Amino acid sequence: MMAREVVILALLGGLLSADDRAGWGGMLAHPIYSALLVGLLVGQPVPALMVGTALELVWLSALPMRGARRPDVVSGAVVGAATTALLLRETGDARTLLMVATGTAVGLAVGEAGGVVVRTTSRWRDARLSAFDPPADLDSRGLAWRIEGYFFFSLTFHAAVGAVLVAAALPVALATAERLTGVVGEPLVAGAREWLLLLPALGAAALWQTFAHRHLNRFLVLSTMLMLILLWIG
Amino acid sequence: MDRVDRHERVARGPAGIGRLDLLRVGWRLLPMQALLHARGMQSLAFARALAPVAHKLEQDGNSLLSRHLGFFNCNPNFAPMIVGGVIRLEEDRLAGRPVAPADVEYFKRSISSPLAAMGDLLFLGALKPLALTLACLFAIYQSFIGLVATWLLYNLVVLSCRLGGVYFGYAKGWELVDVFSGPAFQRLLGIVQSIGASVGGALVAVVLFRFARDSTSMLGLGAALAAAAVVLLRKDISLSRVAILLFPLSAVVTLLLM
Repeated sequence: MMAREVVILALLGGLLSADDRAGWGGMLAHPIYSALLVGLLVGQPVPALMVGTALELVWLSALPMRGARRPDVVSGAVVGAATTALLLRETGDARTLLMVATGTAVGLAVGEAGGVVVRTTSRWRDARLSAFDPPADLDSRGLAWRIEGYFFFSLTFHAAVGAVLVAAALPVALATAERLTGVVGEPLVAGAREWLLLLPALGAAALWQTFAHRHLNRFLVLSTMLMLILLWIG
Repeated sequence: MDRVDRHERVARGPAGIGRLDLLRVGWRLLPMQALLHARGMQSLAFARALAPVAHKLEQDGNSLLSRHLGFFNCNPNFAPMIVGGVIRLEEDRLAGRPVAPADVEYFKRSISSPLAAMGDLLFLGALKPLALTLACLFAIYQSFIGLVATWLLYNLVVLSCRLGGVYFGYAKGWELVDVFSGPAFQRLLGIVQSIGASVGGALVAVVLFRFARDSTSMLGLGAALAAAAVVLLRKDISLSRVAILLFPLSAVVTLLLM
């Protein structure tokens, strides 16, 4: 891994963080898309997408609802996908599922840690914005400029936190994953594979929780059964 | 107001606010969450959005922006409609119609809470899970075209609300309250939730089928984990942490079984 790649991935993390917390929420910051972007940058789109899908399925239950304490999905997905993609590219290891499982685990851990960092640093940003108190005699033009200053401060803050998180976590995550995948034997490879294959169950649970309401149950159950029949036939 | 009148109104109102002005307001509302803060929530973003039209709506040196620095909290996809409505009311006030600053504030406060709840229900409770579920399905089958199409469709809806909402709110003014009082929104929400539930069911089926294809024990284990996860979610326990805990656990279990 070159320093240039860390910088590029950190910049991507910064841009996606700004989109996630300050943009129009166009889903680009969601793991499934951010991991794909990382994969395309590193040249390993399919394994990176596998990491993104696994993370998305786990984090489906942590959509940014009001007051929700969610993990930092951007740093988690960027670091997780980059770890898998870079490991596969650099080591040439053929155990793709193990690499994807390791990247996913790393992504989940970074996401949790990143969530704590983002919540803590955001308190400072919030205090700065809450202290906005312009002079009473300020005209609209002056006020607009002052608000613009706060806007750029906040946008840069979100991007900087995201970029620093990725830049700090990626080398550590990569070194840890390299060591871990270098020492595991076949039983642990099988364990990691089982874990990765079981993760979608958490996504299925999140979906069930989201849509299982009295008037929606019939759609949920019917489509599950219909799709199962179609898959069975196909 | 008939359709033709409304179009003329959007093209050029009494204060000279044109389509381009409203587009600039909408553009500034795209990153409105950047200015979200605990004290005033989206108050700064609201004032920032009004900046391009402030000079056209001010009278007697009365600063429009400072009047709109009060607490404001709404779903970011529905907030543009309120901003459009406020511009319309401010313009009516400028044209000499009986609209007091207190009325504009009343409009803002009375409509923001219901629209916040409706927007959260529609976007965070139905549309986003639907789009992400579709994206997951496409990702499982590695359909890059499907992924891009889902992203484009979702963004088309969101950007229509964010940019088109300003025009809609401006054209409606006070009538905006009536639009959301009727059954139309509930019907729309019901349709999106039904589609979401159907796509969600399809993803659940794909997950179960993949477990079954792997082995019977995997199907049993997956179903048990999903059932346990539903219980954990109801107890507000983070599935992300559960997944992290399961990683070393699965390795230990595999070692013991071998």
